[in-house]
Amino acid sequence: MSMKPTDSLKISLSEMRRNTMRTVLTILGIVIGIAAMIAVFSVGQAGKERIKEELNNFGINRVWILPNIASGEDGGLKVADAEYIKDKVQGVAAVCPADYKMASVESKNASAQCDIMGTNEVVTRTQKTVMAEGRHLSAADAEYGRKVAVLSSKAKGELFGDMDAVGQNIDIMGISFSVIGVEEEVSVVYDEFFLGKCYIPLTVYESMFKDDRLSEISVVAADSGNVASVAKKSQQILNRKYGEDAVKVINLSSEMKNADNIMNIFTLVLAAIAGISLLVGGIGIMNIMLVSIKERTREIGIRKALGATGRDILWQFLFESALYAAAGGGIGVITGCFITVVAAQVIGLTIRLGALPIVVSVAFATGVGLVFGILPAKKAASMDPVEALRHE
Amino acid sequence: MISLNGICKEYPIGDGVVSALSGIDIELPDGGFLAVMGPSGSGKSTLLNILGCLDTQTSGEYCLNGVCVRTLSDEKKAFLRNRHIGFVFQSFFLLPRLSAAENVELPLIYRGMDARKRKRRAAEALEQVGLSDRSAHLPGELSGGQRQRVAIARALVNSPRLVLADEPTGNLDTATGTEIMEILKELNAQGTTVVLITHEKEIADFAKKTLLIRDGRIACQ
Repeated sequence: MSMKPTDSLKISLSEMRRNTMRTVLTILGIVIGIAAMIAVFSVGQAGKERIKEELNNFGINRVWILPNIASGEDGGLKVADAEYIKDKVQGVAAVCPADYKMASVESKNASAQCDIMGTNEVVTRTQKTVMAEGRHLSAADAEYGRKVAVLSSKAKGELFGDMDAVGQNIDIMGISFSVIGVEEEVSVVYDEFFLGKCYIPLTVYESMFKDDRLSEISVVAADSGNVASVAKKSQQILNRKYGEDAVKVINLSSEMKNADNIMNIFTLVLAAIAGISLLVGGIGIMNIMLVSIKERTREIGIRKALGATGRDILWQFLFESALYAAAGGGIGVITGCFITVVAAQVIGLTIRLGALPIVVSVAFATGVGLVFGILPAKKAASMDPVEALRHE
Repeated sequence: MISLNGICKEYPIGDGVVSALSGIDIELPDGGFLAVMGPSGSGKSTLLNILGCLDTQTSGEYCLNGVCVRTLSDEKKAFLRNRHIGFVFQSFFLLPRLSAAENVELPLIYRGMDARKRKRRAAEALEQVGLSDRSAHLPGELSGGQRQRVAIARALVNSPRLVLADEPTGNLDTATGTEIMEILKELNAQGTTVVLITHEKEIADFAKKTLLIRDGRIACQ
């Protein structure tokens, strides 16, 4: 027998349309809050994705095994250890030994400080490698001790500028190498801090520098699920060989977790600020609803005289405040998406706008409207009809 | 039928109380037409509010169609107002932003009737008061007499057994007031019980029975 919800809704809608200016001002706080919410979450998410992408470039399945210099052990890792790990540790996809030293590299016209990387062909499997031109090191290069070099794009730029590098010669510590390829720089964010790289076959490297100790062995787990066990097992067998604490292992999963945590904290702090705006928006709605109920006291009296129950009146005003908030939420979502797209252009992040934050935001805004609408609606519902009718 | 027995109404004012009604007894059978007269402040509006289940008496018993109202919940009283009572007020009390037809529909909305049925019933009620051609007009676009006729259509749209009219002609000129009274009289002739509050003798003469209230008591029948 009671009023239909659709009729309640119609009454609330017509009331909102009546006073457009007031409606706009009422929902402004919610609009700002939701827009900020959407922007914060989508930019935050994009930031996370970006960090993940960067870490993936280094190899998320990758485990670095380094001699533990701090422990005072100086046995060092050897090429044989790479084979040893491959034999003894399960779930290993690739093992790549590498040693690096900083040295001056010269081309015909220029010279540059580079990280000379002595390694083998497996490097293309342990780290993400994109060739700009030419090819990378091959097994034969190491086997025959060819004097060939692969430059990173940064090193190539410093040594050759815009000219072709492949087929040209470079000079490292008085030995001439032929450039066989150029690889794209792996990290793009921090490349200012890194030297250009120059890869040469490990066999050549070792005879040049008279040093068979390795800076690192990279191990790639076959499956991202067993990175931790590969890391642990590798460390165990090498420590057994060289002594306790001889090597340390690093992998990016903990780095990724850290980066994720930092981004999450950052996002949450910004979201909290957006949340305060929502709170203020909710109070704004409550304020307007209280004013509106005061103004419409006689209307409430009339409706009650005609048979509206307290619950009918409650719903009428609750619908109204929820609608204010939902409208604010909707406009906020549009504004937030706009801000996000602009921010994406400015910061240069790839942003995907998910449906979930949009749905959650609008639902949350409507919830805010309901919560802050309850007090005014209850006040309206409990009005004494005689008093209300007497109200001028 | 209406039965009032020793109805008292007191309002707290400061430390004391002021008595608006002190011991009213009324019996009004179905189909009755009662005019309640009295000067301002005599308590006749308070009486009407109690009759309309808008207000509750301090003591005494009020039974409407055999149901004693005092102990009813607010919900139940709202139901009574919606289904069994129609109100006609001195200043019409139409919602200014709703058209005449929409105003007439209001009691049906709170009854939970669906829109199509509502529209038909509202149109019928407007026809009954001779305002079919004004159904889309806003109250502001209607004359006082027309507004009161819309209010009467609203009062009778749920076919109530009791219509309460609180000085329905108070804001109208004599000719228009007479028109309104003719409508109420016709309504009564069809079997609806009418209680009318007025302080004009000529208006009270439309009723079958007149009651004078003074200082919260029935002065003469």
